[in-house]
Amino acid sequence: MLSSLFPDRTFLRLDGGTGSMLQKGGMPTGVLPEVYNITEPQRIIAVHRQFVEIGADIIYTNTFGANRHKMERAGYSVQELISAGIACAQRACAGTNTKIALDIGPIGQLLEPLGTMTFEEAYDIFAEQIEAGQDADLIVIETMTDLYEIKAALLAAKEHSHKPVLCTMTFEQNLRTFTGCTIASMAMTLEGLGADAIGVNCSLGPDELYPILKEMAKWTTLPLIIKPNAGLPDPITGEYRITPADFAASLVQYADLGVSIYGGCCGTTPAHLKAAYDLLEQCTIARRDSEIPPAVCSAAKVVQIDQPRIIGERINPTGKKRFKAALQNGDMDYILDQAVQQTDAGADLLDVNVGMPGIDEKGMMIRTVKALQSIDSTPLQLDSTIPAVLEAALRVYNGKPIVNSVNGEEASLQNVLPLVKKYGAAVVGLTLDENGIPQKAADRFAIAQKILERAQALGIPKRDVYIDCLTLTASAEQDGARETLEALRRVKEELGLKTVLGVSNISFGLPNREAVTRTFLTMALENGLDLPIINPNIPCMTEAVRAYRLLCGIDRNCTEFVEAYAGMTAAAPAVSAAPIPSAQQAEKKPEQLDLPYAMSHGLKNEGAKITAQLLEQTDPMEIVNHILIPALDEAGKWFEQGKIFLPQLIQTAGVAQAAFEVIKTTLIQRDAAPVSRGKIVLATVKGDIHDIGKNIVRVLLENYGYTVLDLGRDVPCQLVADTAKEQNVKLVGLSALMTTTLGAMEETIRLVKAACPDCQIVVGGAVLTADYAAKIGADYYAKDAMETVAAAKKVIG
Amino acid sequence: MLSLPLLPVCREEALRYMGWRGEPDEAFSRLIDDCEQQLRKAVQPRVIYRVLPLTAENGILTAGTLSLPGADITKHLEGCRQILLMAATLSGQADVLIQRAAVSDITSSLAMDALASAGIEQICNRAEAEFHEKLPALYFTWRFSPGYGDLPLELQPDILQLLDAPKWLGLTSTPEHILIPRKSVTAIIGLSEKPLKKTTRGCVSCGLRETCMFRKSGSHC
Repeated sequence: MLSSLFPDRTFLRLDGGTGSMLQKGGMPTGVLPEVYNITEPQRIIAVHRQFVEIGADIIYTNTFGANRHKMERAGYSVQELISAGIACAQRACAGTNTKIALDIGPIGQLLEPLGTMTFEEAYDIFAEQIEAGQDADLIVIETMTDLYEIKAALLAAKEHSHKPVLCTMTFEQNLRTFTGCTIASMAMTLEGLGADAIGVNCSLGPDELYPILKEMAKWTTLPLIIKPNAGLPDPITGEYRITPADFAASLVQYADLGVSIYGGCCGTTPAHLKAAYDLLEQCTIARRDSEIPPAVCSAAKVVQIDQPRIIGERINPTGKKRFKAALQNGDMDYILDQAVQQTDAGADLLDVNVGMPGIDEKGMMIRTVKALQSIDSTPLQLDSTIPAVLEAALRVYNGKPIVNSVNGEEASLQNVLPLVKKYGAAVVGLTLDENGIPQKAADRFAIAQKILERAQALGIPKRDVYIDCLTLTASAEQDGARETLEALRRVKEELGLKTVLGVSNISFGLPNREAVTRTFLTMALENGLDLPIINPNIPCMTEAVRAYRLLCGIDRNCTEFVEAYAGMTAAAPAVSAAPIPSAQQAEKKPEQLDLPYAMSHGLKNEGAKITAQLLEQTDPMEIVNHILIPALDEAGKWFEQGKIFLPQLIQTAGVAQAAFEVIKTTLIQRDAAPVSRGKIVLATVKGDIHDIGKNIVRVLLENYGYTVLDLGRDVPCQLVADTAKEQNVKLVGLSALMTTTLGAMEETIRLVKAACPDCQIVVGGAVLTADYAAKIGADYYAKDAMETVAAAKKVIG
Repeated sequence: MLSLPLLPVCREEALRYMGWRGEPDEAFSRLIDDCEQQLRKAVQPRVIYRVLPLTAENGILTAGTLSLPGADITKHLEGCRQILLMAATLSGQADVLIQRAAVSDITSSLAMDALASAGIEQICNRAEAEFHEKLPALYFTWRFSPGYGDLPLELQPDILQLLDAPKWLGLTSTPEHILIPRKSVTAIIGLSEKPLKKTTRGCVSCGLRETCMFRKSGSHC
């Protein structure tokens, strides 16, 4: 689409640094340049015209910051500023072939998970700009540092216009953006979402960008853009230092990389660009090799499918009562903990399935994907049978995910593949269709072939289609294993596709399942399995994959294997004669280790283990009331007396938390509801994002047997009141850390009291005092977490 | 712009932020070591700064386009004809680590948070040392930030805009003027050709002096 706008050009010429030109022309720092579109249009036109006159193919409108958020104080609407900006560009371009690109820069506020702006809000802001800029010839999204933000902008551009879209981001010398986005992630994600060209602008001088463009060229088939600064500005004088001749000489190096779109950013003048255009006309733009490695990614992490990679299967409620309970109660921390455990155990990717009857799967999927993205960069495999759920997840996923799954059924092909194409994902194709799972390998192979053809017809690259030949239970169909392996081998060898397989099912109904599963896994790997879906928390499964990588020579010098297991010989023997002094090993002998000791020494794993042993003979409530609570009380007392400090109190609470988790799981397994002393709503108030204090309070309250409905941070005032009312709670705990958010606390108290007059409120946070708490209508002021527990005891008992 | 790798973090300072007094036991030491290692590996600290002329009109100070209201900043900048305006961030990677730790281990989360606080302090100190090298002829006041004394937090967006901090550091503020990434600082250093009266940063100008746990126990942060 881009090339059809410029049929005669072998490379495209972009303009230079409009903002820095305006500043040079006397625009004071601190004013909003976009307002000049309306108040000083002749200045804008004059700058544009200088670039048009030297032969620019595309100029960027002076609308970089023309979004609702940045223009709040401008006195003009987004529509006015953008229309005026395009009008200025049109006047500068009149009578020439120069095209006009609607320029869109970052919103100026960080998106979730770091910031408080949601992905959906960002999308709306960009959509407004795109709609306002319909008179431009194309769209450019530039100077982005957050992949999530540029995804929102690109999606808005694709869904609100049909213009070509150029996307450039700003990278640092460490080949990442500020937010940690890698070059490969950027390239893969934006190409998948339908960008027409991608590249780099701003950030550094022209020489320093070379390694960045070189890396980018490996990861995309799209035309590449370079628009560097004239070096970095001097902080004392604000001057850019590179001369036009040096700038041009640096820029021509990029012809060898096959870069085909050239411009300048901050500090570059028409003289810089003219020099560059002239030199570039004399060189040949190299042809690019378009073989892109198969891979998926999050913003910060790329996983190449060039060796067996583990997909963790644990985020899935199927057959797991504890997980189902977590879904029903919206217990996100439990789900996140599953992710942390799996990645720590060696998962390269995580499957995410939150489907179960009776819950809003779509809403839960969005929440889960966003929550996972806030704590971990492991790429995700989005798993649902419902296309609407998949689409919702694909929208909010930050990177290039895997979709699990499509199959040979016509309805599935028609509903799922277009989503995979639109959002640029990879996809798992299951070798089943309207007639179920074929028994014979040849028939599964045929379905794989059909899925591949249909995917390619939509423009999904072959490297993004992964085939699952399906594992059948060996105890039921013993010959099935061979058929699966045969189909897998053929898909890999004959179709040249990557393969995926859930292996755990093979051993269902058999004793010593691990032996069967592990052996089948090894056989599958030898037959060409790329993506085993396993439980990585079972050591022997992860070990098998790591050992396979070692034996195949993938893990060079056995580095990863040694790193994973170097400490193993020391830790393995069950009865260690000479214990090595370490954090996790107590001074007491194992037989003397009891729960209070584990708690006071922060021995989390031991605490959980002891609790499990106790549960074999002891009533759960007995453990809670006679061991856990007294130990906590004692720790609380010591804390108040200054004998132990906050970290030790929290460590104790952490062990108690682990013990409670064991008790809870056991109770759920026995179909007994965990006993609760009552519900408490907790929140960090609207506008505030400090949540460590609130999290500590939550853990302690849970330790004391209260059910905590933790609404998180930056919680809308009304949501707290609504939840308190709906759940009929007696106590609400609110936290605020800033003087600027105390107003939100006061407002929340007012709303809670209006919705449920009997509900009591306890508040805490660094800027609060007892007097102030009383003044804003709180019933209790807690100076620390233990005081919150005291308030809960008073109110609830 | 300065790009400074995070060096080993001041242990004492981090422990103080966590509310630990005295020497930590071996297990806790190891936990802190582990957190520090992760933090140092993940973060990309950065600092941006500008030197601006300082003018006074009707008793209100202005630096570039930034007006600096309040008695405390006026007193702080007495005798200065320029300021160095700076913003520093440890980067969002610190926020992610703190959040991740909170999921499975609240103690690590607390430790990570305290280490990151001590970390950004280190970055500011090292940046200041570089400023001294670049401006050897000038005398510096200590770093004064919005929220100290009566200098309003409402200045944050203007400071960020003036420094182009979203572009150079990826640093922004929320509508409530909280800096994001969280472990970030904006500050004003007064510059003077003549030696300045020695003052130190202390509790007097601190907005938290009424509720501070350190002060209650007779110490300081």
